[in-house]
This record gives sequence, structure tokens and C-alpha cells, in this order.
Amino acid sequence: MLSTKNFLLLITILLICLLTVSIGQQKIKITWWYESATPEDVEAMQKDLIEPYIKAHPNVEIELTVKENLQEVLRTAMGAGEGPDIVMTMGPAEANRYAAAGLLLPLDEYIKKAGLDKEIPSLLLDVGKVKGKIYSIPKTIESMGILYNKSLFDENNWKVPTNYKEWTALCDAIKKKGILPVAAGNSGWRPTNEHFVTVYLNNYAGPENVYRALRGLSSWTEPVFVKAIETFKNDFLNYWPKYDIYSSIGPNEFVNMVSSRKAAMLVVGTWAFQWTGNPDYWVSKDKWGWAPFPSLREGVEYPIANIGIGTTLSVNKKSKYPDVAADFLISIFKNKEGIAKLLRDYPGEWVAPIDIPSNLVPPEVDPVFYSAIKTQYDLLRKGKYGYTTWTFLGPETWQWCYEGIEQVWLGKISALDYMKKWNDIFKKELKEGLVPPIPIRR
Amino acid sequence: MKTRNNKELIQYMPFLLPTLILNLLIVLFPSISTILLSLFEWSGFGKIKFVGIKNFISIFSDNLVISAILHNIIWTIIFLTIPVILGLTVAELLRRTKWEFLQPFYFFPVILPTVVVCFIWGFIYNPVYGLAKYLGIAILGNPSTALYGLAFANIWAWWGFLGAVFYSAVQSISKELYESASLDGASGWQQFRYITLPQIAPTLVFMEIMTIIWSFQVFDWVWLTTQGGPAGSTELLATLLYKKAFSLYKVGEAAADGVLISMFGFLSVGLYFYLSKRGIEV
Repeated sequence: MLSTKNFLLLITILLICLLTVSIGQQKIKITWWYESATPEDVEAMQKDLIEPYIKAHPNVEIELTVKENLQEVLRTAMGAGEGPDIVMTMGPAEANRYAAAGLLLPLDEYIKKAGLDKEIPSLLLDVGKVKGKIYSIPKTIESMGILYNKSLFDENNWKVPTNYKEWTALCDAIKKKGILPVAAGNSGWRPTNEHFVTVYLNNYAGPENVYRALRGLSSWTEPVFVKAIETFKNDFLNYWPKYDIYSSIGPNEFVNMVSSRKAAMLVVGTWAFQWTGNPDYWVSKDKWGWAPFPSLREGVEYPIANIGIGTTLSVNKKSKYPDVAADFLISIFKNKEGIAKLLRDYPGEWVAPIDIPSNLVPPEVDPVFYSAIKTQYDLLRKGKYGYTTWTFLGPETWQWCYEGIEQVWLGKISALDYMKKWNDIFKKELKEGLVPPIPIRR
Repeated sequence: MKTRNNKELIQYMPFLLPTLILNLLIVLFPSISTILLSLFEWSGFGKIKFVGIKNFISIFSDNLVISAILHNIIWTIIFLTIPVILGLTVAELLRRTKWEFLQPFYFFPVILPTVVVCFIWGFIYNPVYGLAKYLGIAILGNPSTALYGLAFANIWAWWGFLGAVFYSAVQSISKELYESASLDGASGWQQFRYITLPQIAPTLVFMEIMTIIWSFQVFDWVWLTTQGGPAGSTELLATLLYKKAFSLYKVGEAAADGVLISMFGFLSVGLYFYLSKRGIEV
């Protein structure tokens, strides 16, 4: 029979043992804040990305949380020295700010160890560098193009344009049929305007000229940029919806318009593929097609991919488990099978900057979408790419880019005035180090 | 007497202190921080640099800010008039008819969340599949009509509140005044003009003052619908502040915008005290 003293001692020892075991089994929790996503999207990421990692690392728990206004919430949290372990930003301009403030973990070691420096095109890693170190990996690579109603095009024997002459001829032919050539709208996302500024600047002025201006080697007021904006204004007034309609509609309406033949095309990024497979947006049985945007001036190569980085992933320097967080982050890009499945389960969103072998791509993936992202990857590898405004501009230039162009459409300022102000703001931001680093063009 | 007052104050302090502390933490300290931040250049993290009144010079030389102030003034004028007239009208009609069963109907939009109201009116104004399609106008897409369209939607969800407040004030007016006026041959309009209005003047003036303060704080209506567009035609001071803080990383300038918004609030409060001192019972 145990004495009371020995009994208490035994209980204490048992409790200590239990506590030790439970601490040992305590999972490492990695938090990840994600931008606006539906429950189905979250489920897709859980299934295709997170579960494979957890299976291989049973002591790790990945908590994916959707934050509706991610940018604002993240800024506040990071500024307060908090925030999630995996930091998702809207692009290198934002990520580089956090990095410059010492809030992110350098990823060079992890990237090199995993061989991702050989997989991911150097342009995409270099743009996430601050003081020579990489702090973010692009999660979504996007490019601009034409998404068109292929059934409508086939019935009318319309061909995808490759140059400006063909572009205007096509738009005029579509207009003659009483159909709106380009459906678009910026309701709900005013920066939509910059998508078109991007294609006109790159495809008229040429990527080399845009590159020089981005590096501060030439002025944005050069005639080739001014003419690009004048050409865009002319096309916008002739081929896009009337301004008051354009300002009132969003993806629900303009995708519907193309699918129901009220309009023929969208000038849009590869993210549009999240709409094409959705019957709430693409309401008819018509087929869709994708093509790069035409060259708008002789001498400018076709095709090019105007590359944008929609979102980036980084590791919070204040993470309790930075190595585990970095390991999970790297595993996302090594998980080609998971990324391939997301092409089916979350199309248009997870276009990671890695080459996905065709044998891994599920048969249900839209072949048009797969062809679009393969083309963009190939063009990028071959050096045939342009620069999107949302990836390669500082914040104030970016804001002027999409707000100022409306003044041009409405005739309140000229294209030259628009580019003059653009140039002034850009030069100021370049001096202040707010423009993402533009890698040497190869 | 003074000693007795001090004793009473000490007795009441434990009840006042929690709220006072909460107010200091949530209201006073952030307010002081905002005023201080407006004197600095700061992105939200990293280096912070004292620049004095540079941010204020910047905002006053910015056409966007001037334009936003103008939009706020237009918004204020609209809300000082139309919903007040509607509220007074319904209060007076209720006084005469006693049809109080109508109250839930006109008050219902007031209790709807702003997000829901914006969604409803976004549909109504949609030129592709909303009612606006049949009217042939894209109200929120046209720079000339967007601000007024938003104000109209806000009025729809707001005037019922004023109606309820004014009716509550009207109910406290002695019925004998109306009976006497009626016996003296006063018309309905004369009763409203010479009895109702003067009797509810304190409530009316108070709501007008609050309307001025609230009008300069408007943010959600614009942000949920037009985000300041089209072409800056619905940009208000609060939306500019938000963009500067969260898109442009200009926390100092955003704070200066916040101080500017507060100044309009202070002016209204100043007016309130001025009217009190002039003997207008508010």
C-alpha cells in the first residue's frame, strides 16, 4: 500500500511524463494568409498543396486563412511586427517594401538548396531581390492576351490578329456585325485600366523601349510612348464599351457579354481562365480561344508575353519556425503534381513559374488554358517578354497609370500630359528606390 | 458646497473611470498619434522622418484633395437638405395621421448593413441587367451622375432614421398648442411652420450638426461601389486617405488628410457651441 507521499510523487511523475509526451507531439503550426478565395478554392489548395506536405511532415500543421482585404490587413499586421508565417503579397513592389524594412527572411539558401534557381526563370527571382538577396518567390505568373469567342470567330471566319492592321480590320468587321469588339469594365477593380495601358505600351513601343524607360535610361515622354497612349485612346473610344458602361460593369458582365456574343473578345490576363470554366460567367456552350495581343507597330516582335507577377510568397522574419515555413514554401514549388492539379482545381490562379510536364496535367484541365500558360512560359524563357505595369512600377506611378488614363479617355488631358506626369512620378520613385529592380534583359 | 461636489465626484469616479480609460486608449491616444504622424514622412514601417507641415502643403496643393473637399461639401449640402425634408415631412404626417404602423417600413432600410444596400443599389444601377438598363443611363459609370447616384442610395437608407428622430421630438410637443392654433384658424402648413419647427429646433439643429460631421467621414458608400471613380468623380477625403495609407504607403500624408477631416468636424462642433451660447437651445 502506497503512502500518501509516495502516491502524490507517483501522480506528479505521471503528469510530467504526459506533459513531456504532449509537448513532444505538439504540432508546429505554420500560418498562411490568403487573399479572397471561395471555399472551393481553399479546399483545392488544402487537397493539392497542403495535405501532401502534412503527410510527409506529420508534426506540422498548415493553417490557411482567407483575408478579404489581405493587402490592408497584412500591412497593419506586418507593421506591428506580427503577421503570418507565409506572407502573400500582391507582387514584388509590395514584397520588396517589407523586405527593405527587414520584415522578411532571405530565401537564397533555400532556393539554391532545392534547385529552384535552375527551374524558375531568373527574371522572376531577380525582381524580388533587395540588396542582392531574394525575399519573395512569384506564385502566379500572368500575361496579357486576347480571350475570344472561338465559335463566333469560326462562324465568321475571323482570324486572330498579329499586327495593328489586322487588329483594326478585325474590330471594324466585328462592329459591322453590331457586336462590341472588346468587352471590358472596371467596376469593382479600378486598376483594370492598367491592363490595357500595359499591352499598348509594350506592344506599340516595344519591350526594349519599356525596359530602357523602367531602368531610367530613357524618358517616358518619348514619342513612341505618347503615340502608344494616343493609339490606345483611339481604340478605346472605338472598340471598347462606352465609358459610362465600362465604369459600371465587371467580370460578371463582360465575360457574359463575350460568351453570349454581345461582344467578341476580352483583352485580359491569364487569370480570365478562372471565369471561362465557370457557367456563372461563361454562360453559353460557345468555345473560347486565347492568343497573344498583336504587335501594334512595325518592328515590334510578335508574339510577346507581357509578364506580370500576380502574387508572391515570402517567409515572415518574425516566424517562430522560419526554417519550417521556408521548407513548406519551397515544397510548394517542388510539388509539380500539386501545381498541375491546381490548374484543374483552381484555374488561372496558381500559375507557378515552373515548367509542368504535360504528363502531370490532369485531362480535365482546359487545353486552351494550358496552351496559354505554356506559351507564356516559353516566350519568357526565349526572352520574348514585356513588362506589366502592376509588377514593375512603384506605387504612385502605378496609381497614376490607371487613374490618369481615364483623364485621357475623357479628353481632359493629352497623352503627352499623361506621360509627362508619369515620367515625373516615376523618376521620383526611382530615386527613392521604390521601383522594383529590373533585371538585365537577356 | 464645493467639498460636497468633490466628495460626490470621488464617489462617481469608479463608475466613470473604465469608460474614461477606454476612451483615452481608443480615441485620444490614436487621435494624438494621427496629429503627430501628420508631421512625419513614413511608409508604415522602416524609417520615419520629421517633415513639419510639408504633408499639409502637399495635400493642399493636390488637385485631387481640392476636388475631394468639393465632393464632400456637395455631399454635405445634399444631406443637410433632402433627407431632412423627407424626415420632417414624414414626422409631421405621422403626427397628423397617427399611422404609426408605417414606421417599420420607412425604418427598414436604416437597419440594413451598408454592404447590403450597396449591393441592392449596385444592381438597380447596373446598366446591363439592372433597372438602369431600361432607363438607358449608367448612373454610377457617368462622372456627372455618379456622386448623386451614390448620395441617392445613401438617402434611401438614411432618411428613415431622421424621420424616427424627428417624430420622437414631435411627440413631445403639447397637443394643446395645435388645438389652439387650429381653433385660431391656422392651416396645416402654418401649424408646421410656427409650432412644429420651432418646438423641435434643438433636435433639428443637432441632427444638422451631426450630418456635417458624418458627411466628411463618408467612406464605405464610395469604397463599396465606385472606389472614387469614375475618373475621380466620387473621390472623397476618406477614400483618398485610405488610398494614401494602404496603396501609396504615405502614412504621414494620410494622417494629414485625417486631420483635415477632423477640422471639419471641429468646425461643426464649434458651430454647435456657438449656437448654444447664442441661446439657441441645442
